[in-house]
Amino acid sequence: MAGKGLKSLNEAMKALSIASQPCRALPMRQSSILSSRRSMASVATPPAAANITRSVSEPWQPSMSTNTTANLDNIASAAKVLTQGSVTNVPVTVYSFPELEPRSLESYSARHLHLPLRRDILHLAVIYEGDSTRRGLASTKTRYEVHGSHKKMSPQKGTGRARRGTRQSPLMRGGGKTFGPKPRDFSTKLNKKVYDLAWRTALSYRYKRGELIVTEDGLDLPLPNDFLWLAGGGKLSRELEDGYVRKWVHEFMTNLNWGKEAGRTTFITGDKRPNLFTGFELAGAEGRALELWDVDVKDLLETGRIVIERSALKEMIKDHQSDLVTRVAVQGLRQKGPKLAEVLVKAPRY
Amino acid sequence: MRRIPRIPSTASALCSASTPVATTSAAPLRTLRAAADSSSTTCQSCNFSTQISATRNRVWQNTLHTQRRCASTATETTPEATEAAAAAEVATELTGTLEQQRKSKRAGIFEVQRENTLVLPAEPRWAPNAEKIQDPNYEPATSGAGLQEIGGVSNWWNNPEHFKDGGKQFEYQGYASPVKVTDPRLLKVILRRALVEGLALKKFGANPKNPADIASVIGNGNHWDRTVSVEMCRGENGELSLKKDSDLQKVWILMRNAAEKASTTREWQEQVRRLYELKQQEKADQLVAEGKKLGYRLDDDDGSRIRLNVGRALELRKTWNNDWKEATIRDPVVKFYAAKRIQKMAGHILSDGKLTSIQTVANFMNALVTPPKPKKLAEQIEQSSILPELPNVKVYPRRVTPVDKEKMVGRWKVIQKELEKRALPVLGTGNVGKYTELKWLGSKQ
Repeated sequence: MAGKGLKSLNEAMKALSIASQPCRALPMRQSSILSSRRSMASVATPPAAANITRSVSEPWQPSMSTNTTANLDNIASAAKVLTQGSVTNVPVTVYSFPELEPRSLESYSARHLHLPLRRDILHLAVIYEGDSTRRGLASTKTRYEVHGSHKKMSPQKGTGRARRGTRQSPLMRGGGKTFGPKPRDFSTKLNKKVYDLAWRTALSYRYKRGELIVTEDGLDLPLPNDFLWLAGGGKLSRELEDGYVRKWVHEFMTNLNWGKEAGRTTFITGDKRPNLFTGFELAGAEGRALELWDVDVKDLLETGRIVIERSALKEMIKDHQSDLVTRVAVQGLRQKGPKLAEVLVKAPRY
Repeated sequence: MRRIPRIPSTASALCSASTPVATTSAAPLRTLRAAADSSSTTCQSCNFSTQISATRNRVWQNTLHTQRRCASTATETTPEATEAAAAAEVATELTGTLEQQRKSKRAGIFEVQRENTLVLPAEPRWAPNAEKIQDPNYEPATSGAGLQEIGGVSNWWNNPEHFKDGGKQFEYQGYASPVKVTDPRLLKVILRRALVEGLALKKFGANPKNPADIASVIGNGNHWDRTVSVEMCRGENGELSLKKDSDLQKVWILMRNAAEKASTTREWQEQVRRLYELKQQEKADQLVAEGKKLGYRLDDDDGSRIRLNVGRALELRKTWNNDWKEATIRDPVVKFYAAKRIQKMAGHILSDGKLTSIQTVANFMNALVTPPKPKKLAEQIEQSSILPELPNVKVYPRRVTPVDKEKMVGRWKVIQKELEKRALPVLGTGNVGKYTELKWLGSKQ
């Protein structure tokens, strides 16, 4: 019995050994074509000091994360195999509006428009904005601010009731508030480089999902000439004018499949466009229009899609790349960041 | 980021044009109408001031040419004068060269006065004042009871009769084909053609000097055979390319000719239409005859619609082998032109994010063929066709309520009738609150 038991124990131990394991592939996640996702290759390489201490605001780059050329080669070749070629630049098609004809093609750096999704950084940015937007106007009066006489309300002794000093006492009805709210600034701090990274992360997120539509400059609603003619001539009453625009915008957005059913649309322009802004002021259920200065990260994450003018996009990225550029020159050279909006195909003229 | 306070004031909108802020390179392309009006501009042709009245506070950008007459003076123009002016314009149009016509079109000379398509409510009519009525039998009413209520104009535009064009002004005409092709057999042919043309356009460009954008016109007829049958292979680094470089030029010339033909046909059609509108039958007939000699047709829509059916597509598929399917496409310019052609021919708009992820011909095909992700779980289950086939499984798009269950066994109508007979609420509890007993029992429900 004992011999048999030992035998079976031996067999069990053998079965557990590595050598006896059948050839089994590790359950690896299928490599994505989007190279922005961290590949296994970079994890497997000997950890370089620069890689470990990489700042959160510094964008991860498959081919530039280490210093040595050998590592660079290793990573580049491995990344190529895994991800079918690393993405360093991404194309941006510029459409005409409202026909949506692809007119020209521009190239942006992957560090501008193809960053990996970092929900934590987006969260930081949205909270930061929310804090900054709080008005913090709640205010109460202390006993020293409440109006009225400071006369003693009743004698100290002999009434059979509690002692009562002034009318402003916090214990009295109509008295001051102890430790009540006072106007204050709720804003919190966030490193600019983190905030800028969040901004471009939000744009990248939209880009990858196909929800970033870049149009030619001069984005505006093409309201019918008949209407503009009548409105300009003062022939329409306010009710008729608003009703027409509401209907027109609704039909327009429904035809484009950009309206309420499709999660609304945010239009971003460099300056105020009368038809666009007034149109969406009236038909807010279909979308919203924002000027460039008025946009924040949360706006970029809301609604079904973002429609933005090409120069507004360029300006937006230019203003939010503090983690990519530096003012410090080393040996007379300054890091100016990746090139912005390199034109690959010019718009045809006809 | 937004700053406090962020109250958009109309005043700032109005003065932005006069004192341009222009902090961005996306500077205002057009001046605001209101700002222009603040200096009380006067219409050049009719000497009518276009200043907006003070009662209106909406601001619209009017893109109409200044030479066009204002709405206020529209009734004053006589139809004869308009017709004569239009006829004169047509005369100049017919004599001038194409280039001159294009220039003058841009300058807005051909804008003809036309009837407004919007129907406005009639001016209100006021009853005479009771004191002024001479009739001795007239008795002024003391209450408004029994008067017919007509209502305001809030629903005015919901009535289709108020649009003379039958709602045409709400139609959207995009660049993409209005009909979205979903048949994989057609899509395969369209993709092959788009890729061949994409390679040709990459090499020779879309010819920006030419008035016709050659990447935007679909040529039909034998264009399909001639583009699709071009041999494709895996070139350098496995990248998609044509076997013969000379084919690129052939394809490009084919496209250019189609675009030029479409452009001239369109202009000819417009001229004929204008002449018919002006009832100049003889001139129109003459122009039609001239055009027919050159091969133009009035019903020609080669530039905007594909003529391809499944039978033809299957025939065309025999002309190529499968070498091209394994080739990679990494050039963004080729992808851009191919996507543009696909948008025109098949109605699919491929986003940049998708184009970035497309690396091979097979990826491209998948992107076109794959249906959009279902929005609801029920739709997804229905499409998967595993669960609905099981005899003991039922899939509902929403929660099955007690009412639904009664309806399934056909009891609901009876219950409804009985409840109504007893004057009890059919759905919900009506005015009856919760059971008081629950409170006695100390329930927190």
